Amino acid sequence: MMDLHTRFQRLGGEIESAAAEVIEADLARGRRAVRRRRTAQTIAGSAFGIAAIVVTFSLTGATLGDSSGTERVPAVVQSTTGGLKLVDYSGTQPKYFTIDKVPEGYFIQNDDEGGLTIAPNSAQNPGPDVDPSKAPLYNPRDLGGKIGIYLERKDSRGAVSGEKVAVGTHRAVMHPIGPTWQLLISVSPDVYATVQFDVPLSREQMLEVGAGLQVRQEAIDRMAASTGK
Amino acid sequence: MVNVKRNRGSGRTERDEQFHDFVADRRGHLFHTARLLTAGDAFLAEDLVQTALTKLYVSWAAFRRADNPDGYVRRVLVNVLTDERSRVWRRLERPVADIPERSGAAADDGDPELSRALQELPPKMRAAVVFRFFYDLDVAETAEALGCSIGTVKSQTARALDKLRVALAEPAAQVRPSRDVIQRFQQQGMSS
Repeated sequence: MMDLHTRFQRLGGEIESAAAEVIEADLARGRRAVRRRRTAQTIAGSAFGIAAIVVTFSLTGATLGDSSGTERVPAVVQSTTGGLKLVDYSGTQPKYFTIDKVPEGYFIQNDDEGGLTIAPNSAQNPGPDVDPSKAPLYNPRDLGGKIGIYLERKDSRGAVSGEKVAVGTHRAVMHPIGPTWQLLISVSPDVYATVQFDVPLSREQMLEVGAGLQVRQEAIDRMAASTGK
Repeated sequence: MVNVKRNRGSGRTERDEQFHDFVADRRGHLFHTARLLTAGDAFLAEDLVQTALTKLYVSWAAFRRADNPDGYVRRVLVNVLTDERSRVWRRLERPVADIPERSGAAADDGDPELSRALQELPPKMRAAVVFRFFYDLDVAETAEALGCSIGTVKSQTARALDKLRVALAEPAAQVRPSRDVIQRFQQQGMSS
């Protein structure tokens, strides 16, 4: 007979000392994160000065399916100078999704049963001095600076707050997570197709990307039948 | 305030030096915890540790000021685990067809049955059971790590135990926390 503590101990494995290069890699990631943060703060400060091209839109506190809601806050900055242009997607369509629009200069970096990652073309060919394993841009599972599309069970989220919108024939909700935006498209009673934007697109452009998204029923059914979280 | 004084020899800041020492001392333990939080998946655990350490570095001053540094780190790990911006963790939400029975390095874990059982738990429930039954944290400490109420921890751990018992297909007596934890449960009016 074995208690949980013993089984957890075995599952967690042995506690090993970190190799010097692993520690250095952790340190390098931290430094890069600080640099990115400072750069983002600088850009945000600059964008704030371009008042003429700033548009804000309001959010409601409505839950999907609830027609009521009060307008409130925050605030996406839409810059025509710093934004991206949408173009028709002309590459090979993914297995479980069809997409009509992508930002100009972007490609599908990852396509698997979990969803899509749409990344800038600069993620395709890291230079000889770049270690892809340490640069998030080259990691298809890192969604920083990219568009992520994935399916998720609605019950894994619970109530969703945000602006209620229509995306094609589907109901959807938009909401911000810090500087990132998510568009949760209700593609079935149990499943959202979530489009996560960590790129400079306007609200209308995000909705346009969402409207051009189609999900194969097979993928929806599989996600609806999924377990865990 | 982060001290950015530089060590002339290495070019590192004081934060760099402190972070380096912290990682050297604690990374193995963090990975061990992360592996439990990710139901035994070593790949996800490594992602979790890397992301958590990056966040710690960015907020190093706050971490250093924390009254309970271990609690601070646990909170960061749970936040990263449940961070909806990251799709990495959603790999655990797996469709029922065409997916390998187990992912990543879970294949070489020491308890595949427990790994599968933990995969069936939502992340916060999994974290609750790990902190309560492995690290023997009390309800308040676990609540702090999970960012939820004490009542939620009690209900989550009770449900987690029930689910584990079913998943592990063992009599209740065999899916049990350690003796110390049982005593704490009883003292806190939550008999398992």
